[in-house]
Amino acid sequence: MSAVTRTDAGRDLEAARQQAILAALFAADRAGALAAVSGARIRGSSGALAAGLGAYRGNGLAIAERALQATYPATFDLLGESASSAAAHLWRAEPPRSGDLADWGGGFADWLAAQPSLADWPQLAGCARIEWACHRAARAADAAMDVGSLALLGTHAAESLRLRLKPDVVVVRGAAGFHRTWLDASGREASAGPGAAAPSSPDDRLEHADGVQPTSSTEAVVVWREAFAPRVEPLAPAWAEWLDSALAGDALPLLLAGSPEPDLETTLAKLISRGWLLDILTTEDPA
Amino acid sequence: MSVRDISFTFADARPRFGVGLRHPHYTDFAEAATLPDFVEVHSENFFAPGGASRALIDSVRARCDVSLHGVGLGLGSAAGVDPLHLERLAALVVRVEPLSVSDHACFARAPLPGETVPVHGADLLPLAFTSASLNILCDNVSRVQDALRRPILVENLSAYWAFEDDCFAEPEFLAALCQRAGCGLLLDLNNLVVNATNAREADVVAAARRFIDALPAAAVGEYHLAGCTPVESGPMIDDHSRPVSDAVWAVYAHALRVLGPRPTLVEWDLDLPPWAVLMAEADRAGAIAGGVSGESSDKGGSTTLSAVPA
Repeated sequence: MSAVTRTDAGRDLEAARQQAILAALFAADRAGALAAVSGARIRGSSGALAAGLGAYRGNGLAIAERALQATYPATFDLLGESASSAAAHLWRAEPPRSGDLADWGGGFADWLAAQPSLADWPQLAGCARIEWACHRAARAADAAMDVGSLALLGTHAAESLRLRLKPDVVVVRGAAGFHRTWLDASGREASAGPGAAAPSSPDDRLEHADGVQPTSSTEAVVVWREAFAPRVEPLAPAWAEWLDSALAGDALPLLLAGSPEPDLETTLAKLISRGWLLDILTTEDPA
Repeated sequence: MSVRDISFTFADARPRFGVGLRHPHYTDFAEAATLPDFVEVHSENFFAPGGASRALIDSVRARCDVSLHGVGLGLGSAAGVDPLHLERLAALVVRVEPLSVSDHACFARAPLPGETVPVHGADLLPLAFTSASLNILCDNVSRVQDALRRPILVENLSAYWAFEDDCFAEPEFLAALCQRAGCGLLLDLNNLVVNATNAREADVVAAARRFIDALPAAAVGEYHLAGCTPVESGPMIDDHSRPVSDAVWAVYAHALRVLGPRPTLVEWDLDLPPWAVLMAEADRAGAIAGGVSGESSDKGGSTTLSAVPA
């Protein structure tokens, strides 16, 4: 056998061993974990193997729970005692793909939404979607608005322009009441979003936020970062659709046609006042 | 050539005494009148391209030297190092200009059976001490050092498994790594004690000393000190939740005598004490190092150094 072949074979053996150990760590149960790791040539008694396996699997679950609780504090509170088992299920169903645990857990809302036992509580998955959006917004790249790019509005035809929003801005949709569920669970007060009159008191603010789409089966919020803190506001349906269009990079005429405000100036003023606008580009500029 | 005769050295690093800076202590650090010589942060906690963590690391760096200690590269992974992870680390290194960059002699990434995209175990999983494993580790460390344009330090593990086909003793494996890849060793002394405890060594301090005696001094670039929860049954878990144990202090004194002074970092990750307690642990490390240094310069003298464990 050549040296090269021996080296490749050795690497393949190590790759297989590592695969077996990771399969054991993410196995659904202990029996499956022991079966997965049986070919990894672990030294010592079966008791030593089991003790090590317990340590590694236990550490994984503890890490999963801590990571998920940090990202989804309100959803965890709502889940109560079942939060730990939810974290364990997600850990095994959707293992991390990155060495930065802050990247893990984005599938939690979909996983909650798929649970038959939670079918009559759709606001829970929506609450998780808000928290994931907040998590992402908190980590998004810093971006200051390019005030100079507004000059393009005076030098270019609308057909050749588009808006770009900051990387932390995202629209989140959920079952009616999901924003309120998140507010209650996170102990926050509602703030009014675009398309809504200014509330006059804290109580009015709550009623107002809940009342943005009182007859719809779904509702939307916008999440973005202000300084270092994620913010969440309810969105009127017209604004939600318009922000989706802007985030998709639609050209200005399309945005004007669907504008939630009577004119572009008012729309731009709201975008700028909220800190959502990054810049204005020509359609020839790279995205 | 013996692995103890390596051609480079990490021994020139000035002795410094630092602490791990974790989230509950950020305010204490910002308000502290007296700072450690350096603080260590976990690299991955500062990978975000924007937001509070980015501002925080800038403010920490403005006050103090920083070392970047990673837990996610999975340097021994046969699946290789994640290019995105390495890209993020490289950007952080440029931003922070750290005293040192380190990660662990472990694996973390592999595709699950039937899949092609690796999962990440989010843990420091033990390597078999085989030639193939050493080749993988050396290749990955070299790739990281090429990307970062600097040598890194690789930390020994506390491991709850060993393998039937191990063909190196761990010190020999680590020394060969340092010799071949040109990296240094971040010698975690608590891990030596944990491993000796889990191996049911009759004298864990003696076992840790033997490990140290087998290392090439020039390869050791830093010491980690920590404590962990005692156990009555099952393996001792390296949870960094307690003060540095007496056993680790004794092993530290031995390392100072045999390998020499190096930057020394006190880790405490769970059940964190007040900032002042953590700083006192770093001060104690400095006192012990000073005592050992006094022994060296005063050989045969009558000075009694009560701070120095035997």
